[in-house]
Amino acid sequence: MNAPIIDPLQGDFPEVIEEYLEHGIMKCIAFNRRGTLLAAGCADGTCIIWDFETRGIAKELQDKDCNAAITSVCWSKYGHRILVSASDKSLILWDVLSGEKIARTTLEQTVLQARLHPGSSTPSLCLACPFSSAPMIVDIISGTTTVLPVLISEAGNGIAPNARSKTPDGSTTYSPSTACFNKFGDLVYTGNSKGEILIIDHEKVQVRALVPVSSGSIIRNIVFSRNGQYLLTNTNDRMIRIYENLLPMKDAHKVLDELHETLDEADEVEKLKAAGTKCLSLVQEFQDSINRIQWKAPCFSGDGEWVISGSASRGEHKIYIWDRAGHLVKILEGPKEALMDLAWHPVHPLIVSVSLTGLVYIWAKDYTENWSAFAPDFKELEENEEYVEREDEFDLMPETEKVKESDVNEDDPVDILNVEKDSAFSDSDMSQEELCFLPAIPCPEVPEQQEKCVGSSSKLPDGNQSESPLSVEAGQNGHAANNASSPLEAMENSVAGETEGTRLKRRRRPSEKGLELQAEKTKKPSKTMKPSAFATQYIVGDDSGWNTEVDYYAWLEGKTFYVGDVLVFSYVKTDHNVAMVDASGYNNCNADSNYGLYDTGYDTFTLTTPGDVYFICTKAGSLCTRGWSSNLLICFLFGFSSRCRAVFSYVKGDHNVAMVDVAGCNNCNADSNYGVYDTGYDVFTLTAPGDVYFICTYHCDYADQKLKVTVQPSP
Amino acid sequence: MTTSEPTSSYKPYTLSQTLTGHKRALSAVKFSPDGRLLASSSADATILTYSTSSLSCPSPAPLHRLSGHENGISDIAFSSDGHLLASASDDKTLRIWDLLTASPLSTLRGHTNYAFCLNFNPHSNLLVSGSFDETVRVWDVKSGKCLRVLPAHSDPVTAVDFNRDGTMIVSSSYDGLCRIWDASTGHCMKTLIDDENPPVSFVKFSPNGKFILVGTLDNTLRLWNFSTGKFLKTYTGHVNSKYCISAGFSITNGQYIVSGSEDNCVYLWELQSRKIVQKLQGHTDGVISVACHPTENMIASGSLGNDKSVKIWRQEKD
Repeated sequence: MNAPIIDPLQGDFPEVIEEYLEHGIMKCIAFNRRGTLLAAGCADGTCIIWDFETRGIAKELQDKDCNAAITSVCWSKYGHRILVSASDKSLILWDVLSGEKIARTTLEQTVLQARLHPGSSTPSLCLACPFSSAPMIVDIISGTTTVLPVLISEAGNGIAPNARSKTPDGSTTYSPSTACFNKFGDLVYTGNSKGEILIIDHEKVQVRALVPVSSGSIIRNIVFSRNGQYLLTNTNDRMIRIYENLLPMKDAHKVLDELHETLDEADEVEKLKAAGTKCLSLVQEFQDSINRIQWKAPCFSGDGEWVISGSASRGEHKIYIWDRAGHLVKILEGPKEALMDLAWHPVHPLIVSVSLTGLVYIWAKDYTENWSAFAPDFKELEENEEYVEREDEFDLMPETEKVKESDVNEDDPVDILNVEKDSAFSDSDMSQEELCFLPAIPCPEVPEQQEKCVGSSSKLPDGNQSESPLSVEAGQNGHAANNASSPLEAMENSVAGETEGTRLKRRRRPSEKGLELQAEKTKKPSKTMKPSAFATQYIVGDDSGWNTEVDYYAWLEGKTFYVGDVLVFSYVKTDHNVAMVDASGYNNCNADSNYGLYDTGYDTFTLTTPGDVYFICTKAGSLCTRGWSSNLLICFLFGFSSRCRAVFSYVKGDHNVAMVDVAGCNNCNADSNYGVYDTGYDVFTLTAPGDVYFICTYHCDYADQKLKVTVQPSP
Repeated sequence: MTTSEPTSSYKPYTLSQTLTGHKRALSAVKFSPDGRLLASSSADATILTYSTSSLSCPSPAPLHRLSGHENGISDIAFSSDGHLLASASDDKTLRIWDLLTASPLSTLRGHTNYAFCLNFNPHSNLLVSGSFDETVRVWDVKSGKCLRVLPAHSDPVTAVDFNRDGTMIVSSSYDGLCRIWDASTGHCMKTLIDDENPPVSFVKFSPNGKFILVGTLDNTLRLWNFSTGKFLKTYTGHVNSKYCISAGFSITNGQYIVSGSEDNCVYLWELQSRKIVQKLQGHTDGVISVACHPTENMIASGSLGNDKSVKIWRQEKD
């Protein structure tokens, strides 16, 4: 509705945490179709419905029989119903307006994800993806279930056992699988453990097409864009793939039936594959070639133009944003809390993310007030323009003013009634009343401060990453929202552009040793020292661990270490070791006898004093990582390999950046040779080895906002 | 709906009822969105509600008298479902009333000067208010908390309105400006200014939300396309140089602009031709507020201190 006067210069993806929602421990979230309400499933089995306009709680759905954590929430198409799945194996269907339970059914296994049939406004059919068996169609009111096939047996026309009642031994072929409905719900797209998408006509319980995605790696997520034109998959090979849906939106299953008649391959599997090529075509692949991180909760933006995904690494809250053409445009970095769920607002450039601590963060654009909106006669320019004064600019010409008035003919009819259809919801079936809002009944006037206090004191999460990282932020940075306000923190921006080109070839070996290591990891943490209340534990290199294949400079970026933080080095015992050394040891790659050399495969170091710490692996001589941690300052020293750039992104007007020499750094004087930059996004290419210094001339002096970068010669 | 000769087919409105329940000047009259209720507010610090269906009886009695404000009330607004009524008062507060029980639900405090105008958003989870403290405030209806304070104007705010889907707020002020705000973020999206910039006394979105109807204290009403910043229609003939007189769109039978006037009349203009089609005479003081029934051909008008009455006008039936 307000589209005609929205400022086109404001971009359309979020940048900063605008606000957070706090109520119990929220686990999973879902927007209704218009984005006016946000449903959140909590660890105690309640489902909170937030009014997203007021950011207040509009309703709480609580079943007295269910106090197990909610694993997924799903809205019906017109928002009248909500389906939740809980870890006590139950599925509950709610009527949103009345807040009453319509039906509850208990399955044999916990459902990780349940989705309502999108075709009906009062659906009772849903698609449930249990923890370790095939997806099934459940009629939640009658309680009947139909297990969908997940594997095609190579033998021929057969479909893998459609086990209705599984025995523990018989179901071993199943591993977690994922599935979703297409836009109108006539087909189900499932992803299986063999890396295949099966397109299933769920009424006939028949596989209609097969699309191989990646051989052998499990499909973790499968998600349609809101308009149904694109599909994404997240696979264990750390890739997100975007497919274009080639089938028509409506009656897709009929088109598939026709397709089958025209195909004449004898082999059933080949036939399904041939049909598959007519259903989906791969358009894009996304991965983080540097860190090789696993993805979590990928999804499309409301208009399908963007793709976002969280990092599955523990202890970080990173959201990657790509445009559909495949460019990484932004990495959002939140507090050091693992990300649990992610959703993009259906209409606005807003992202909400759920953290391990149970908070919901709302990411929005960092809006810069457009002052020309206040002063209509002015126009904001991107850059200075030369103004050529008209010859008669200051001449008095009374007639011209009259002319201006006449460009509107007041007799032209105006239409004050008709509304253009909202293009974003063009498929709306107008005959259906949509539930967008819950009636707001004013609360009686009571002081309502207590709620907040209770919330924060009982907020400790149940996971193993429970070192309350929030308090780190609160204590030292103010709450989380100051993302990217200083140039140093904002170095995250450089991750993508800087290193992608040079390191595309890195491969990860998913060896047995890697798995052994995983097992060890889970056992060991009990041995780690008890850090102080504010400490954070970092697994160096995250999932990749400590080896020559990880770019630790990239890993370091955006991380701030405080005294008390714990660094965990996890590596293959026979290949690597770890030694804490001083600067000379780092430069010469010699282990320091004072600190000793560790080679257990899992070693932890607690940072005890402010200052530089260096770690090396003596076996792989080139593997040197150093970080300069300090108690208050957020600074790093980076060693760069050869050609590299330093990117400073900051709030224009608040900061600037100047490259200086050592004297300039000490005296906080900008060097006239290099100049001061203040565009808000400045890039320096570092060409020669040696030390370079950067300062913000506003804050160098009293806030010590300076950075030393050491450029090392190429190895 | 619109004919080239609207006056020929025009059926005049006639006085159907006079309601005399207030002790001082009226400030606002409103019909509920479902048309069931009529409410009037007054400088006597009370609100009266009437059932619309009772208005055809000989001497309708009010359903309720809502009292609680300490000073005169300047504006009232119904929630979309007609269950709530909000009021803005010179005691600097807003109050929300439950119309089923006729009891006050909450008092919204925050304005530092007279609260002058207010409206619910279509979903009625937000309330917007304007005040003599020159700010526009957005309130959470449920919690009663002020969500946003918009430093909107440099003079008293005279009117605030949401568009039909609640994405925008328009505000007008004595400073001669109308501003459009993004309701979800509170950002100023547009400022509209006339070359002359007379004080703006009233603003309201058109039913489809594409235009705004703007009243200025130079006896003029204008229909303004806010996205292009151009005037589309100008309506004159009435007297309005002193009070913040409300106007409205009458769309139940043809399309008309209806406004009060300081010459004790209610004016009706044909929307497209901008011709005055009728002056409703009967009040004995300036007409400060008018309201059009959402579905019936009925207009309510409220008048100032010498008159203190609400009059109901109806179109003759066929």
